[in-house]
Amino acid sequence: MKFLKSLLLFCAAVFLSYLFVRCLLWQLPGTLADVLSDSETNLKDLELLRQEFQVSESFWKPLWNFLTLNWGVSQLFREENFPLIMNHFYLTLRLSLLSLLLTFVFSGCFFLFNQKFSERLSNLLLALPAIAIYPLVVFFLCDWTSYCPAGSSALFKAIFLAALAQGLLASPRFYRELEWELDEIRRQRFVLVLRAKGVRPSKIWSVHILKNAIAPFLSLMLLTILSFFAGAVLLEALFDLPGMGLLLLEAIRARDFTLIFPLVMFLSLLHLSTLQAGRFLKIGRAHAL
Amino acid sequence: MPFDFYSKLLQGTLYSFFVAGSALLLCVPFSILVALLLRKNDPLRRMLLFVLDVFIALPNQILLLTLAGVLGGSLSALLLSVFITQVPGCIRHFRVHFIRAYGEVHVEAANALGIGRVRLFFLHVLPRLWAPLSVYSISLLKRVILMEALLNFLGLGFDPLSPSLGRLISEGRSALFWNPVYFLAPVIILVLCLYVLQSVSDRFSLLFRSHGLRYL
Repeated sequence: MKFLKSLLLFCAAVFLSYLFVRCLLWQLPGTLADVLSDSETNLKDLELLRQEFQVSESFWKPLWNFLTLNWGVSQLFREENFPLIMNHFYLTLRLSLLSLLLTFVFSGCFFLFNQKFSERLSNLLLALPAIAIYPLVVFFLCDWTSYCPAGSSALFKAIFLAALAQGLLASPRFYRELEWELDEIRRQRFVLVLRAKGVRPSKIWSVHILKNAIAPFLSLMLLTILSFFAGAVLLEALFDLPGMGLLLLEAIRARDFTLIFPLVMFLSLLHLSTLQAGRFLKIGRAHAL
Repeated sequence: MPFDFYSKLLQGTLYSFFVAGSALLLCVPFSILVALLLRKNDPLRRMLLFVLDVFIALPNQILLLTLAGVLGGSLSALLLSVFITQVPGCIRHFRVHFIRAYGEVHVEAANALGIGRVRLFFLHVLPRLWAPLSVYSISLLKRVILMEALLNFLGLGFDPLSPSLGRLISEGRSALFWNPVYFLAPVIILVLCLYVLQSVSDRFSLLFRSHGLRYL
C-alpha cells in the first residue's frame, strides 16, 4: 500500500513538474517580447520563435495544446533532441560516478584522521565555494603543470580532474552525513544490549552496525549523485566537458527553448526518480531498525 | 593594482548584499504569510503543500539557472528566479515552526482564554519564532549571495556592466597566471562574507539556546 501511495505521489509530482515547466515555457514568447528591444532583427527572431512554438494569437488553441500536452511531448521526443541529450547524459553520468568514487576515497581519508581534526578540515572545506575551487584546480592542474590542458583531446584526463575537484568538495558533506548516520546507529539500544552481552566491538561494528548502515549509505549515495547532476553545469562549463550541464548552459545562452525544455524535463525526472529511490531506501531502513 | 579594481570589488560586494537583502525582504514575509495560511491540515491546504513539494523536488540549481537565463538579464528577473526557487523551502520550514509554536501549552492556554488571533500571534507565537526566523534568514542571505555569484560567474546574471563578485572571479580567472590577485581578492571577499554570515548564524543559534529558546 505504501509503495502504491509513493508511486502515485511520484507520478503526480512528475506530472505537476511537467505542467510547471510547460507553464514557464508557455510564457516565453511574451517574456522575450519584454526583454528584446524593438530592433528589426529582434522582431524577426521573435516572429521565428512564435512560428516555431506555433503560438497563435487566439486564446483557445494554445490552451487546448497546453491541456492535451500535444506540444510538450512532441518536443521532448523530437528525433534530433533525444540522441543529443542521451550522448551528453552518458558523459555526465560517467563524471558523476567517478566523482562519487573519489568522494568515497576522500571521505574515507577523513575517517582515518582524528575526529576533531576531521571536523575542522571539513568545516574549512565546506566554507569554500565551488566557483573558487574549480578554477583553482583548473589552474594548478591544467595550466600550471600542463597535466591536461582544458578542452584538449585528452577527455579522460579532463573528466578525471573534474571528478577530482567535485569529489574534493563533496567529501566533507558526505563524511559529515555518514558520521551522523553511524552515530545514530551506535546509539541504538540493540548496540547497548550487544555490548552488555559481551560481544566483541569489532564484531558489533562489522556485523551489526555496518549492516544497518547500508541503507542510509545507499540513500546518501543517491543524494550525492543528485547534487553532482545539479552541479554539472558549473563543472562542465569550467572544465569544458561536453556533458548535459554544458548543453543546458549553451541552450540557455542561445535561448534555444526546444532544447531547454526537454533538458529541464529530463533532469527533473532524473532528480525526482533518484529522490524517490532514496525515499524507498529510507522506508526499508525504518522497517529494518 | 588599479584603483578601479578596488571600487569594483567594493561595489560588487555591495551589490551582492543588496540582491541578497532584497531577496530576503521578498521571500521571508511572503513565506511567513503563506506558512500561517497553510498551518491547518485540510484537503485544500494539503493540495497546496503538495504543489510546494513538487517545487522542492525539482533540482534547485537547474531551475534557478534556467529561470535566470530565460527571464533575461535584469535584477527583477534574478530576484524572481531566486524567489521561485527559495520560497517553497522557506514556507515548508516556517510552517513546521508555526505548527510547533501553536501547539505549545501557553499558546493553547491563551487561545482558551479567548485572546484574539492577531494578539495571540504577535504576543505569544512570534516571540517564540525569532530564533528560527533569524537563523534561517541569515542562511538564506548566505545562499542568495552564493547564487548571485554563481549566476554572474556563468554570465547569466543581471546587467553585464555592473560589477559583481561572481563576474570579477570569472574575469580574474583569465589573469590567474600573471596576476592572481585579480582572482584571489574577490574569492577571499566572498569566502569572508560567507564565513561571517555562517558565524553570525551560529552565534544567534547559540544565543537563543542559552536564553532557553529552541531552534529546530
